[in-house]
Amino acid sequence: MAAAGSVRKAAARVGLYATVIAFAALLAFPFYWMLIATFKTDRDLYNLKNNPLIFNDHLTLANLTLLFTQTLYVTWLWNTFLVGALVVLITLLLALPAGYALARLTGRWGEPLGIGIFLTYLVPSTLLFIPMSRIVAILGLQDSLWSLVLVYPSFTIPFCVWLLMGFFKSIPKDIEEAAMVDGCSRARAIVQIIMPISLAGILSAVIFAFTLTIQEFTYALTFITSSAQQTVSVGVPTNLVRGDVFFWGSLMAACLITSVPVAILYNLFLDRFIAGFTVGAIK
Amino acid sequence: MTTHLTRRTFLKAAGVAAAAATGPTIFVPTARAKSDTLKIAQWTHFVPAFDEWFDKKYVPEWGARNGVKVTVDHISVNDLRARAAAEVSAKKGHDLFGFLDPPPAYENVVLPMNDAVQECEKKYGKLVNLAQRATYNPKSKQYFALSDNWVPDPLHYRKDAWGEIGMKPDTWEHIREGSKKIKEKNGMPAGFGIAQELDTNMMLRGLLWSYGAQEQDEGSTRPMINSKETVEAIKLMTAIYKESMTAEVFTWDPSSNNRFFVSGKGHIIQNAISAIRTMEKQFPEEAKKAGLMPPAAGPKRRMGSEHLLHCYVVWKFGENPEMAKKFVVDLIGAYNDAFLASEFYNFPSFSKSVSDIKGKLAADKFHPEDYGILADAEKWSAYPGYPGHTTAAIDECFNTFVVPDMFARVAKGEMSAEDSAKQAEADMKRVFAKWIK
Amino acid sequence: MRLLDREGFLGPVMILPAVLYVLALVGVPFCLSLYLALTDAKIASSELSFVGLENFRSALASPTFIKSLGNTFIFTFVSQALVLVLGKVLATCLTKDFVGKSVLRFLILLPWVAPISLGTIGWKWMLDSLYSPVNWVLQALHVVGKNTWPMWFGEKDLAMAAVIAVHVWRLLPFSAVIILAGLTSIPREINEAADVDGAGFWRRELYVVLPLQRPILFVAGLFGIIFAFTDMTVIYVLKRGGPAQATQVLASLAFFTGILGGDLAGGAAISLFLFPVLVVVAVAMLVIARRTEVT
Repeated sequence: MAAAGSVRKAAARVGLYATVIAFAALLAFPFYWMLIATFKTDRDLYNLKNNPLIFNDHLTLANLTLLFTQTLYVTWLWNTFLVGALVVLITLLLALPAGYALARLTGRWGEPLGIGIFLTYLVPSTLLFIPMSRIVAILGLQDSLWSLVLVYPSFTIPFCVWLLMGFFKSIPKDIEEAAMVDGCSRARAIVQIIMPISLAGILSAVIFAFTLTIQEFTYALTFITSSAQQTVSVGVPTNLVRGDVFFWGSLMAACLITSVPVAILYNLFLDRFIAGFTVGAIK
Repeated sequence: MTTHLTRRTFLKAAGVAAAAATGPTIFVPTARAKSDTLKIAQWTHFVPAFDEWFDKKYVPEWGARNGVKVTVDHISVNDLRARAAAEVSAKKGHDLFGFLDPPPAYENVVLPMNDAVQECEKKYGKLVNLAQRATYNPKSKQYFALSDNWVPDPLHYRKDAWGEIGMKPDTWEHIREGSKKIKEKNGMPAGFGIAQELDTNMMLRGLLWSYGAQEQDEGSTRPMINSKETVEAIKLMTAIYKESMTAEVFTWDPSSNNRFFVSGKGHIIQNAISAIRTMEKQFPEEAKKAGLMPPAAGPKRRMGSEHLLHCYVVWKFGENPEMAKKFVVDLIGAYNDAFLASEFYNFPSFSKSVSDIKGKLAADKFHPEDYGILADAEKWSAYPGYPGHTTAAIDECFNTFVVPDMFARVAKGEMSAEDSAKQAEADMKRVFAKWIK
Repeated sequence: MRLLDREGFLGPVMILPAVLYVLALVGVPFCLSLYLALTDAKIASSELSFVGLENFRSALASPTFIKSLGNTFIFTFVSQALVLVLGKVLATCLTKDFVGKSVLRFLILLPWVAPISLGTIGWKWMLDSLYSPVNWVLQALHVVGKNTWPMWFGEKDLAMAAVIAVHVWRLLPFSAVIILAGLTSIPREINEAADVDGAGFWRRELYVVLPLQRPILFVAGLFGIIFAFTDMTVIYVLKRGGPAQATQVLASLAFFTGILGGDLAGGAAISLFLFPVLVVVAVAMLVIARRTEVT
């Protein structure tokens, strides 16, 4: 019996590795190519006879030089980071209490309000940017990063509210009720007991909000035109896709350099919130 | 890229602002106060050197001469329309907005350019016909945009491959026959896109006109796409596809045929000269085997489409309309330099704004003879909506890819040429009904 | 009792700021879009006249619209089903300990953090008709021959498969993270209790883990669906709805008609066409999600 058990365990291990490696290979394959493309010469890239996955010519720094010296890439990175951080802050301030209230304090007004927030989400942004740009103009925020800081929470808040509600709900009620029986106020119970427990949920809300600001394209394009105020998602293609000519090496370098640090950061977050769990789960 | 002005003009600007701030006793006309900056938006030019010349040389110098602080913002080709829509909705934006195809739908919100066109015609010769038809609304008698340049769309072909079979891609029938022979001889395919993209939109319109077909009547009031000439043109393209092309032509975007030709995979494409220019830079040896020809002739005429038609509009809500107009008029006056800075990509919309085009083309380092054919480009270039005007209805049909879809359905074997032309007409009628009341 | 301790009061106070923020920004533009869909607005028209449901009628008469409607459903549901199922598998794997976990997880996270406008441009090359490294690998593995490379954006079904694959590629890491986070908030005692009872992997999944995760799965699923319905980035950048409208969805068609074509009202009608349906579905799902209580 013990032998059969260990065979099954070994098979499960193999299956686990196979699955994870397959996922990683498929998901990261484009990034491998981006890495290669970053250092490839154009001659190498465009030669049909070449193996696309290795270097067939000498390596070049030309693509990186172009990106860093001929464009405002560093400025765009900084702008993106700044907008992301502020949007995350606003989102958390508003979405945390709302999410908790939706999960626990089901007053008569709670439910319709929560659903009301959500419904705004059904409006496709394809056209929403038109009236939205009028609002931005009235507020005098055109061509300013503040326009993005103002508008982005309108789509990060609804999702984060509902996401956080989901997390708060999966925390058994007894935990804060016990605290409240001990004479702790609801507000204190939230801050001191619920928030620490839901760190995983809060961090995923942060990840979500930050990532959406990196990805957003339409508003960034239509509210801002001066190069010095642009974010990565608009600045890079605007300057490196010229009519029907793409600067592939530099484009892919920009994608890679923007993504890697954020992915490393998220990975650290994940470690933090999974640590407590795995210890208990794996026997 | 923001271009800052000299210290002197800055001080002058600051002086005006200070005067305005001191109170109502000093009269500062608003028009004057507003005229200290000029904001321009236009595309990121395919030739980086052109933007370099424009942003760092021409614009600052012009600004200094006119005492204006000028900023230039670049927008990617695909995003121009979205940005324009946002500016119109916000009633705020740039003083001068450059489109790459004429925007008739915006006529209500732009200033008529008739005076500027007149001034340019006086100074720099006649506005070329295709630019005139594409930017003028005969009903309102208004120029809704002022075109400074347009881009020809010649055939690119491999001289070596065509030389081996002893032919030239002079007519569409030759192209069909030659492509078949080349394919049999060395397996090289032809490359005419049949996809939802700009290059296809332009190339297929040229094919239609060469066969005597047209999208609409001369008065721009009703679609005429469903004709036997259209059916013939569809059948010819379908034959070329079946005999000498691969399914990749359905997958293309505007950059694909460039790669197809530059990589040496195919022997013919129709495109702006960006393709051959890229080849000269990346594969100078291979580029020697490439050449340019005017668009192929059909049974009716030899006609291609402009590839792009660059034109500026001045929003009614713009803050500096007079300076904006003056800027374009002066720019047209500087087209000798612009033509060279763009490596012949930008062709002048006012015929005499560039002197001795022939001589300039013949002085090219790489392909003097091939670029030479562009000297006649105006004769064989038309515009979407030809022989009518480029109207808002035509513009919507263009942007929803009615023509490429019509060809694609047949080439893919989903529909007969006759049915597909009929469906295209139905599509166009729906669009026309919305715009023409 | 202090005012803030009264739950009937505290609830709305906590929700209200978020609601006001969102409504102030989206509410007005949203009503304007609704209004536009019922007029004959063009992109630069100065006066509007009310035309009732004419724009919707005109849209329904267009074969392109009907095709896009079908494509929208296929794109949304296929991609969302894949995202949820694969996300669940991936998340379950990531709860286990294994060598090199950190590196693999980093690789898995990459697609979600890449700016989508750039990531999708990368895919244009990955699936290019001439240079596609994907096809090159398939050829090296002898899956396809040298002259039979799949033309990813040339054939109807391949094109749809490609846009779905890229969409899944982009969203999968995120859905895995959400599900993973949901798993981590399941109290350890529950898992331990199930272990003590001798419940196997599948039984534990089905009777313990899934029910506990329901609220999160619901929300993740619903938002994913709405995302796919209203977002057009992947489709627009990759192939602009081609070939011959085979991947055109309502969001991209609305953009072509309203912004590029200049028929603002027509575009608004197309993009809001499914709004009534979505409202009903969303409200129903949200009410269910809200009422799913942890037992």
